[in-house]
Amino acid sequence: MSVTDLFAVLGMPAGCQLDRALLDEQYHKRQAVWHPDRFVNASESEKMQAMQHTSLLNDAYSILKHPLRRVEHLLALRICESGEVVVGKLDPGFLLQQLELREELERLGEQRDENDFARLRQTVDALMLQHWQLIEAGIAKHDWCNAHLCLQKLQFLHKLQEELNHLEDRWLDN
Amino acid sequence: MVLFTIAEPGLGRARQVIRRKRAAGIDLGTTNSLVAVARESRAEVIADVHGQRLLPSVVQYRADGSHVVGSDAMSPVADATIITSSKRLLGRSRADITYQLPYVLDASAQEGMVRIETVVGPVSPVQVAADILQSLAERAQTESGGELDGVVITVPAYFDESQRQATRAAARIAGLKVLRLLNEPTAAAVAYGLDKQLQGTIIIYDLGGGTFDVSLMRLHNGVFEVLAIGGDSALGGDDIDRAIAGWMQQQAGSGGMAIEDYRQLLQQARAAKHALTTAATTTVTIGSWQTQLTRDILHQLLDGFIETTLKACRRVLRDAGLTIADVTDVVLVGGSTRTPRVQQKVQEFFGRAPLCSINPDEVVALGAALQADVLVGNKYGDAALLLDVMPLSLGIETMGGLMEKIIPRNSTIPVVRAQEFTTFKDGQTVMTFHVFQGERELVSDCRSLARFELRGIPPMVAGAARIKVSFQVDADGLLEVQAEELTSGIKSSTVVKPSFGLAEHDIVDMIKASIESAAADKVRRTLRERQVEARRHIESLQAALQQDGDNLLSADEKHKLEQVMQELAVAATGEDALLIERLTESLNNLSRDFAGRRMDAGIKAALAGQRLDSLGDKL
Repeated sequence: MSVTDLFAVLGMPAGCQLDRALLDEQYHKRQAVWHPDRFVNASESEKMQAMQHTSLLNDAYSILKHPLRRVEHLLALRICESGEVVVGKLDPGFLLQQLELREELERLGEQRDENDFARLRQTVDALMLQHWQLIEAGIAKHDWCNAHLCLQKLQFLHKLQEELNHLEDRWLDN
Repeated sequence: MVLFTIAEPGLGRARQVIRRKRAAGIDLGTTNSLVAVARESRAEVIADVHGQRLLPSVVQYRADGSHVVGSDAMSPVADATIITSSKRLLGRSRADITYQLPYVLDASAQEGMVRIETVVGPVSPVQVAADILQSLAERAQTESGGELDGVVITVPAYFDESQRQATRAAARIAGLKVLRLLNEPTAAAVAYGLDKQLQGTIIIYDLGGGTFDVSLMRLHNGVFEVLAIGGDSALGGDDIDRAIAGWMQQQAGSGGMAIEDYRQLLQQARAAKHALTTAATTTVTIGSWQTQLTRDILHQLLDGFIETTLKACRRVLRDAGLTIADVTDVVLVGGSTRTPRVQQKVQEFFGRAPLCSINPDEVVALGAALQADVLVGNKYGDAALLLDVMPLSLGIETMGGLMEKIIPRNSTIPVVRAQEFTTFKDGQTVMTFHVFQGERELVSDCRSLARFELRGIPPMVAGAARIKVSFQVDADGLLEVQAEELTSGIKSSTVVKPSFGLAEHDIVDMIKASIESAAADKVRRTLRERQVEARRHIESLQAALQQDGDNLLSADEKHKLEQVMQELAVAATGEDALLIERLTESLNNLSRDFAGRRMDAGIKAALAGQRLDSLGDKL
């Protein structure tokens, strides 16, 4: 299965890090040409084309500006190019740690404690940063297996972070 | 004497004359509606013949089959039904209406969109919206001298699919070509961005008569990018009026009320709210009972609503990953932001004085007109670029009544997303898709939009079929869903016709009815045109009289002219088209001589190389 290179779609150099100002500029430049508003009086087929292309631009932009989704895409792209089959299994230690963090989150869900919440957030943030750096190193060394494994862990952590946000939202609302 | 023809360079060459297309921006509001048109790079709100810029969103249906729109519709007459704030019913079902209305809903229609009981039978809120749109379009047509080539209609950013579809249907019934449905806060941002050159990270706080929207936007070099939106499509000035009315009823110890009494109570509540914008206290009455409504009490009634709006502001910032410190400006939109308490609370929350330099009632229509001018094709190249988002997530129901989100809220539109599903029974040949909109986990807490089937799936073991469901949302925020079985290529698709919307045949019936009443509309339009023509005529004659009246006319002639002019001025505010025509004609005849003398005097002055006014000085 092929993967569309979204970095190329927006004319950006492929990488884990990216120049946000350049990304915005490239995106806006392309939108200014392709946006359906520019095709109001065009033929139906041109309108359809414009809509499909802007949808791709919007998709590419939303993926590239989001760090985790950007790295997911980059890795999928690189693995696809290398033709390698990547396998990896999460270690029990990591899974156990996840379990503990989730239990703590559950406890906070039942019993509101802002200080413990802030501590939990810090732990998750630190773990995310650590895995983020491991992925970058893996990609730099073309160690797709390790990079992929760390990405899986980062996805776990990201989910956890979203649930933290969810809980905070609920507190904000009440 | 040699006469030279002085021509502009290039004029001699063949030049294609392109008619500037006629476009208008319409703000279809809960309480008031407006229409604006763009001239060059400025937009202007169009007033009616009485100089009124706001058209109250009120329609009165009369037993004789006629209807009246606007302020004239507000005064009750026998055998008539007055419908106010019907925007809140657009695309809604009975179950959505949990509050008291100043009219009765049709009880027979439990399913589908609500209908309102009137003296002429049940009327759909879509029809009411269409009547308001038509009245506004007439204004714009009279002003710009012909049929409109297209309109941009604004909708609350938080309007869901069924509300948007209902708005489109209304425009269709009114015979208007919709260039775009534009989110109200985005339209306001366009007005500020183009007119006031506003740039930066902006919060648009839009509290209208019936809806609240908050939009976080980035304005940069002609790009208007919506970062996140939030709001409540059933929160606005109306709710404040109802709260005041409720407080009055409670204080007076009065129970249930007749429909007409309740309508008047709401009107009084609104008047009291407006009075408290400047006064500290105001008197309210129910029958013989009366009391003072103070600002403090009003604030108590208001604060809960305002807190809800500020919560939405907080959420929008969080959705975009920004904080209050990132916000460079706050813009107030909507009549309800005139309330001093709202301004005060918004200022406290954001720690900066909000902007309201463009009239908050008019800013949305102005922005819509500017965008309409672009979309109709009058302006290319450097035109602003609007990047808007979906207000609510879209998805389908999966096993166990769960909502599987396919397009998350705040996705920039247009957007296309696909997801694969599979069969759960051996040999399953039909799959039903139920499309929902909303943020909750269970579909029972989301709004059902449409249901459709994919048939003819080749029989396979459970889980073997690969069914791709694609959601496509266009730049108007309208959804089309398609399902395809990938191994066999069997397809099924539907443009979402929300379950709460009108059936196609209902819309067709209404269009038919509107064509039948087109004759009556034509009479009305002729009247408007005559009124405008008369007004223009009077204005130019007045100017001419002021300049040359004393020089070129005898006192008697001048008096006669002024007399007919006065009669015409009075007639032009009335409804008698024939009278207006007759008076315009006689004024024309009377002033013809005067016009001739002015021309002679002008030529004389030109020959002498002098202007008329300097000629006068020398005499």
